[in-house]
Amino acid sequence: MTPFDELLEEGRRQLGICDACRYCEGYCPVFPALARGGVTDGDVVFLANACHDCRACFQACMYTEPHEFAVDIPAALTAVRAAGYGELTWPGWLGWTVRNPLATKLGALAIGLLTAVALTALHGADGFTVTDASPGSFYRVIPTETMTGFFLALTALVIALLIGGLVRFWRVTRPARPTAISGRDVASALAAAATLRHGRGGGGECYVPDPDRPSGARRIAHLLLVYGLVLTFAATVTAAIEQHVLGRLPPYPFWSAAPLLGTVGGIGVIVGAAGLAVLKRQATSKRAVGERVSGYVFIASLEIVAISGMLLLALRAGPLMPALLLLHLGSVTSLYLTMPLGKFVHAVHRLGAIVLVAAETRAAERFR
Amino acid sequence: MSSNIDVVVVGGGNAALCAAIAARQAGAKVLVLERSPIAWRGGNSKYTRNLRCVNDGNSDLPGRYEEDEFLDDLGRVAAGESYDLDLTRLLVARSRDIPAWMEQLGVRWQPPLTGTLQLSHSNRFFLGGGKALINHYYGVLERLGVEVAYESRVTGFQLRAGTCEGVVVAGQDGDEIIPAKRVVVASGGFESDKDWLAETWGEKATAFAIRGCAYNDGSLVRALLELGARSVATPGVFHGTAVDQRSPEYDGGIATRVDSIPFGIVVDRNARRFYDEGEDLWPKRYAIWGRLVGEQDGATAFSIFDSRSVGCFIPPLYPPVSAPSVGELAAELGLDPEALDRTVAAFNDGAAGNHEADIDTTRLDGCCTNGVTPHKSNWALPLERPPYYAFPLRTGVTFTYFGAGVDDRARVVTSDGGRLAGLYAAGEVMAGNILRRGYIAGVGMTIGTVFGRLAGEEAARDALR
Repeated sequence: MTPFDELLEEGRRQLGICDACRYCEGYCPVFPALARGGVTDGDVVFLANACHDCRACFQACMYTEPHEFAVDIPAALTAVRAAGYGELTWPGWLGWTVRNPLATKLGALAIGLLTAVALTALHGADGFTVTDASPGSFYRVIPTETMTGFFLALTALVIALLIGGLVRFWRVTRPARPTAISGRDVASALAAAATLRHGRGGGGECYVPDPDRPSGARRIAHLLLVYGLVLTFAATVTAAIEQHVLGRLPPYPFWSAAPLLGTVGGIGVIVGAAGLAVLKRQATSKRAVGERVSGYVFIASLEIVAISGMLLLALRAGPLMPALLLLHLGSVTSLYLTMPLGKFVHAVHRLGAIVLVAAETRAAERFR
Repeated sequence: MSSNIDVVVVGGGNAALCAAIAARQAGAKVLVLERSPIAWRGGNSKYTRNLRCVNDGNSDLPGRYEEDEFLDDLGRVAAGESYDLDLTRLLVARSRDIPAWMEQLGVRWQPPLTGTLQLSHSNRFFLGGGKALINHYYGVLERLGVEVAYESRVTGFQLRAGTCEGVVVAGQDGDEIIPAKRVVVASGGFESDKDWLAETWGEKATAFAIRGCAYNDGSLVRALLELGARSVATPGVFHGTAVDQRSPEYDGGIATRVDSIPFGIVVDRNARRFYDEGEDLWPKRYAIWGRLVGEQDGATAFSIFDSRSVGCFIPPLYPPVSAPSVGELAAELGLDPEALDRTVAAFNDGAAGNHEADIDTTRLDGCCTNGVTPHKSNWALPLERPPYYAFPLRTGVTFTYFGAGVDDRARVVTSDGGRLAGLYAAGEVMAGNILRRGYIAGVGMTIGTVFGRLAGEEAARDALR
């Protein structure tokens, strides 16, 4: 049995106990989804990704240690979920990157920065000495066609890898959960994801960081991060429109759409990601659940992107502009490269899981 | 530990916590003495999931559950045994405002759990079940500034001139006396003491599993009775259910319970049926099967069903025993194969007129057997679709009824009509004032909450006078 098989077996054992108990049905969709006898590996992977790690079920559980049944659903499902990202990469041989998050991130940063430097050098060494903020200054460091072409290609690669991983996830979980899915289910899942509804512990909120006092802190920090990222993405799109449709070259004045979106978004990312790191540290000091390196690595990479972006905005009219531009582009590149290979995958797989949840909930009268 | 305590509450489960919260809300200085370590706090309440309350129709629950229906349900499971009608009326009447009281403390509800739809108009399910509820109450106590001492075992009461003035707590260096103006005893029944169970129920009780905690040895029930408290209920009666043979000795909780009984037949170790498996809806009948299984030879029995019933009930955490034929199933279970074949054949003959399409397990469908003893009144479908499955059963004891009598202010009363001054009781310790024989789902937590609040309020008022 591989280590992953062992995690699945333990997940089946524990969920089999939950199937007989079910007191946690009101906390989240995981428990109502248990199907009265017979938990398969596909069920375990599905439920592990539907779980939002609010840990309400752990504090409610009559079978946690020191009880001999030793049930710990957040730990068991987190272990399956985290290991699962490595088992379900596409292509499969990339799995080692998931299992070595720090090395992978450092390697990706190196690749990103070197690529940024190389793209600049390709067009002449004076790209490194641009110091003004006049229109088009960024493109005297790296030409617009190069920058655009590179990031479009990178985006296509990342999307392909994420879709490949999602297909593998679907193939593992779908046979166990074959309910027909409609557009309404996708919409319903997106609505739930938009507020992290399933992380609210059925209304009592999340037991991270304090297993005795639930709160909305982690959910709020996470939402700040996510919407921050959305705004930074919107800033990029807005800038693209301004450049290619309205014919105006960046850098744009601070009090215009793209920089403002980027600033607000950047603050959201910086504060949200830092908040998640603080809460993770506090939670771990009380009880360790799952490996944490990949989480801290992801947070650090987001912070580097956000902080370099803010610094670039602040210091774009000066001698540090090329260096900051290359740092920002390099760190964005490394973030893109590692998106399919680490913590970010949770966004895709968990969304897939809650689409299945929505479909089953809609068809759910048969559970009662 | 603090001094100048107004009210000591002995115990750490639902009744004790409700008493402590109520006493504190009434202004008393309260100390809670929980015998178990913090990891095992909460007694049997950890394993509960709902309580039963009057529902006047103006709540978020469907339908209504009037006082009369509640009283009627209690009366019917008493099965002719007398019980205290005044206290039962008080319980039912005061159940009405329990939900609001709990909600004010921040307790949340969840929809009725899978398989409990018949209870949706009468029973409320607290979010996360009993352990989440008591966790919440411990959080409330912390907010209210009530001290809780764990691993504090009360061994007796400190009396002066016939009045209780404190408790005796066992310690490593000898006993400690904690003075208090009033004492609420909410330390459970005697179900954890298998010797006492065997004395009162019979030797077969040593084979029983205890569904709940190992700390309820009833030592304070004994202490109260020794002080002259009036006893209530018969010593041998308890609330119990059928659990899987493989259950742990203690703390099996809900996951060991077997709910397959209505879907097939139940036989003793001689492969003979002995009771009507389809007598009534499962939520109204599950509680008699503890006693029924315990009465059989070897205090064991077997719930047998075929593949058509798989998925129709919540299974226990243990896998069923299975085999491709009845005879092979018997061999797996240690039963005489010919005897089981005969029993199943006779049952199948009796149920021959019933078809799968007629069976409706959500109501009394009247699909009964003909010419078989014992009769099966509902859901009688022949066992003929392999594989065949079985759960081996043993009795699981939830809690005992024999305890101390109380009056309508939760004060412990004596057999000569007086009171044990300074002492109040709530929860399993006094459940026998209401429950004499059978049980209905959720009423245990109702008893604990109503009499816990009552005892806490009264003890605080008397202490502060």
